[in-house]
Amino acid sequence: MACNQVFEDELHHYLNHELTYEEEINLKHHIMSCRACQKHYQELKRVDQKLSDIKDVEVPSDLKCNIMAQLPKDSRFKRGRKIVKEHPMISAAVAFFIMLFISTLMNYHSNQQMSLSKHEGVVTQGDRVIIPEGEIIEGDFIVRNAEVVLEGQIRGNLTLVNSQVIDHTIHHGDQFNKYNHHVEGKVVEIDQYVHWIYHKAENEIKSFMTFVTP
Amino acid sequence: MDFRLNQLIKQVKKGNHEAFGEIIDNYQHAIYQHCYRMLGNHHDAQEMTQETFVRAYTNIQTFKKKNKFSPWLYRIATNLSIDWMRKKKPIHILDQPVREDQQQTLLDQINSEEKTPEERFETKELNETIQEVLLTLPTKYRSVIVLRYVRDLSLQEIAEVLDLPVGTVKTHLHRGREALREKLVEVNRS
Ligand SMILES: [Zn+2]
Repeated sequence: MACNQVFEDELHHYLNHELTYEEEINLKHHIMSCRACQKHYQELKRVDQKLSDIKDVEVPSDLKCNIMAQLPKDSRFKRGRKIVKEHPMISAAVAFFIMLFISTLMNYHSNQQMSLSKHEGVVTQGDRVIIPEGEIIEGDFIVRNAEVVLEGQIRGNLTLVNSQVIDHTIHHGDQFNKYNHHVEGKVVEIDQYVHWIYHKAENEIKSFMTFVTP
Repeated sequence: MDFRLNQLIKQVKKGNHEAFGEIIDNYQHAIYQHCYRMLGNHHDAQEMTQETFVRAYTNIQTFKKKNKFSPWLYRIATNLSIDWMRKKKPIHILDQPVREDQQQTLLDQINSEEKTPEERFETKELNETIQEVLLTLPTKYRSVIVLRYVRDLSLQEIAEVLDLPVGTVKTHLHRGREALREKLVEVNRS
């Protein structure tokens, strides 16, 4: 044991590197002349050395896996469910647009072939669609990837997707009145995918809105 | 605080497992060393390290931005380890009598084993003894000693981990060293 408590404390402060230069000199002087403190110092120094020599051990390789397996479920999914619960309308709308986008995309890609609204009396020749003279289509009419020969009448709208009207009866005059004789509704020409989606979305939204707000 | 760590914690608060995985990568070594020296064996160290990280994850909302992360983690590990030792029978205490009716302690047994002093010096002295003796320390001293020597934390950092005044940390460090000194002298006396 150190000869008194003050020197014992000093020894610890020394190990903590807390002594000033002068304090250290004084302590060392004392240690040289006091056997009790010398022994105490050596014993403490050995403890200090042994503790400092402690080597790191290897971490088990399955540690991280075990932790990850014990974590509560990823709550980002929980949050998703919460949003659905709190905002059913917004969630439904988001889900609807995702569905719409996917179905449109699929539609578009599977419809490089010519197609048209079903209607008796409409004649197809290759990729040409002929609405013969005297034929009257009561509703809307949609044509995709085709040339349209328009000789009959459409009471609703005519939508042309990647299609054009080749009208042999030739109406002179401006573009806007080109179809007036044959189409009572609007004529919409869509020849790009983005437009097609927009157009489709516009109609879907209308029907969606009438669905949610009857 | 480290920018990346801040980002990760933000992600973990949103419940992101992947971000927490990165935190585990960064701290598992440190926490494992701490637990191993506190508890003295791999089985318990693994158990407590895992529990530390699971607790950190489930309590991440209580972690405030102004706090430092690693002292927070060390504190969880220390508290869990101390609780664990309390629940578990203290099988490592060398000073306990081996049997109720005997006065001989485990320490006496180690000392009286049939070995030459040289052999004892080599096997015990090098690395085993210090860990065994460490385990005989009261947990409040052991925590400070392990954080100081094994984890190389400053006294100020240890004070943060244990939520104690720096003065108290110093006292524990000194008493811990003294206790170790006495035990080592005891072990070597034969
Ligand atoms: Zn002295």
